[in-house]
Amino acid sequence: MTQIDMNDDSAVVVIGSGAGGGTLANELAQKGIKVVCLEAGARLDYTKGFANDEWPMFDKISWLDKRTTSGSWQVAKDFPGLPAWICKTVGGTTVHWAGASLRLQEHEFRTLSHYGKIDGANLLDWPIGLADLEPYYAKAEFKMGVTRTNDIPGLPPCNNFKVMEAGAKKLGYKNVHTGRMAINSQPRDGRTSCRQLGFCFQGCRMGAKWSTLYTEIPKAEATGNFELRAQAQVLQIEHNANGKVSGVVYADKDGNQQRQKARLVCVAGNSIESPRLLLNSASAKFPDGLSNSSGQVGKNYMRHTTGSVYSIFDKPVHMYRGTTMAGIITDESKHDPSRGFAGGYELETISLGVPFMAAFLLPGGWGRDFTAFMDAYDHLAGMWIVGEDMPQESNAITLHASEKDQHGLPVPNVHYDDHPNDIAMRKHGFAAGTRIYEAVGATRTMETPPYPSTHNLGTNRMSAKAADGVVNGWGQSHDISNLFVSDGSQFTTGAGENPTLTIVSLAIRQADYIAEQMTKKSL
Amino acid sequence: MSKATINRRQFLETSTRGVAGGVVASLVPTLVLADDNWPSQLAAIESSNAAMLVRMCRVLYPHDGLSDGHYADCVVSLDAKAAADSALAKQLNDGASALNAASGGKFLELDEAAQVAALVTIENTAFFQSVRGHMVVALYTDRKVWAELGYEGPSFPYGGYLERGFDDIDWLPES
Repeated sequence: MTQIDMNDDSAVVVIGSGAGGGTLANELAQKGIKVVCLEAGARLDYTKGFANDEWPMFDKISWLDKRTTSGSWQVAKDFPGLPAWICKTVGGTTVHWAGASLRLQEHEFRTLSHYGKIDGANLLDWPIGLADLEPYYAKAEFKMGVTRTNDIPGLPPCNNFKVMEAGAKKLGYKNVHTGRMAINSQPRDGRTSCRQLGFCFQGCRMGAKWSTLYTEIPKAEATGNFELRAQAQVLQIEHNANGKVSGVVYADKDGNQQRQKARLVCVAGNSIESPRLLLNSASAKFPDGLSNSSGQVGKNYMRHTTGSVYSIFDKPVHMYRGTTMAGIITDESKHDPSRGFAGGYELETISLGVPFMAAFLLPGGWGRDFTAFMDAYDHLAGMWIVGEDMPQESNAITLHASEKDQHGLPVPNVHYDDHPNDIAMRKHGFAAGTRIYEAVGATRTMETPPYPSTHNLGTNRMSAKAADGVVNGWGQSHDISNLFVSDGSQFTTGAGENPTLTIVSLAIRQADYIAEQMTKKSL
Repeated sequence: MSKATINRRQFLETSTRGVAGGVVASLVPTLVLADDNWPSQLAAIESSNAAMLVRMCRVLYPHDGLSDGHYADCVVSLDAKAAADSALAKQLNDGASALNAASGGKFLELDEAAQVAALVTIENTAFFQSVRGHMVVALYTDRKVWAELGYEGPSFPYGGYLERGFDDIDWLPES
């Protein structure tokens, strides 16, 4: 394996190995650029380390470092120490994700223009539009093998999808299918096809679901231009007297601090750790943290408007047999203010095993109202609402005043209040989901509150003007030209779609830009 | 009585409602519940409180199809936690005793509705949350409970569900 010298200041340092970091690192390595990828989590082998068992895998792959919460959101009450359900492992949250790969809609890149000003919302148009991303969406879909693109067939419908589809069609919904999924419906790219295990969230034991763990990372390693260092948690990004970043300090697997020099640094630690790292990198020159002249680092935290609907039917469903996110209704994803809210949402099937169902169906719930659903476990169908939430400046990742992590650094606090638009959308989604299931005979329905956030977005947002955000349309810091943000924290607004395809597309596009700028000696 | 094979987990206790984070898995082989003397083998929970806690667990998560052995398994795994945490041991013993005392020492004789009512009054106590937080993980990670609820668990060893009923639903209206 390639080893890159700690003092090699020609290397690009990529922090994080998930959808953003893993993709960017591979794209750069393919272009002949030397990359060190620092990943806080350990490297697992999916053929040995992935079990079809919810809590053991949760313990193994989740980011469980201390975090605190505040705000009126339900997650702060239900899961005060676990605001986000994301990963600390090589591959990042692409190990856990369900595979839904949707393009954002054209109007979702210009919400301020399209929706107009909304009280309390910090809406802003993206500095890029759908036309800028379309070629990269196409590359990402090809890379990831997204079904219903590139002549790849859709996945076959499973029981949970069939229930949702039947109800949706009875109600007149038109756009219902088994999704655009980065899960192989046929063998492709050296990986086998899905066998409907039902454990997408636990890491795909087949390797059929795209994850950087066994696609981008080994491909990057094969170039000879790339070194992955696992269990390397970056503590600080350093800069030189000219205000350019010069390297990073990280804790290695033994807890010892190491310094890797860098030509440029790309941050892809997800939308809690990325702003936290920029804030924790404050210096005499940048007392408010790196790239924070706008004061927007950590602000505008978005997590999608979510909720789940689980219904009991008279006859068995066995929803757990098959892919977790087995299909979608896209009819509600339009912007139609007559519904009483701006933006739209998707309805996607979801299924949890018994251990997770007990924890998440009705957090804190007990007694017969609760166990009626558990007793009916094999008669349940489930769907997830995922919609655009409003960016609010006060929804923010901040450094905790007193709590410190294992490295002595302030832990992040995640503050979130639902915007009235979010509440109206969730209510609409719950009602829609309930109607869909009642149309095919649901006898009882549970409106399940949001899980800890898997879609964490917006805390280092793109903006045309430096005063409005943290990075430009390439994910490049407005303040420090050799510092990039390469994950979902770049999102200016959240849109209503699962974000991974957009994160991957932005990473491919960013790699092209970085390579071009390096060739021009601008970086 | 069934064999106790619960995974011990630090879970929910510091939360008022849900996952506290830092869920730590460690397999703790516990007692084999071979006979009715199992309470005397508990390390930290006083044997006089064992039946109280089993009943509390059942009232929290009542499944009429489950024998008391499943709930006793959860008390055994809770005891293993308490054996390593004297504050928890005290909280559990004090809490169980107080719950019983509040019912005039006759909690076990109350009907289920009255037991529920008694638990509602202590819902916000640390004792209640410790027991509930442990139970919601311990009971529903018990593979025998999975079978009772109709969950088939790991599918990879059997080749997934592709040829084992992933699309076998037969009662939906034709679309």
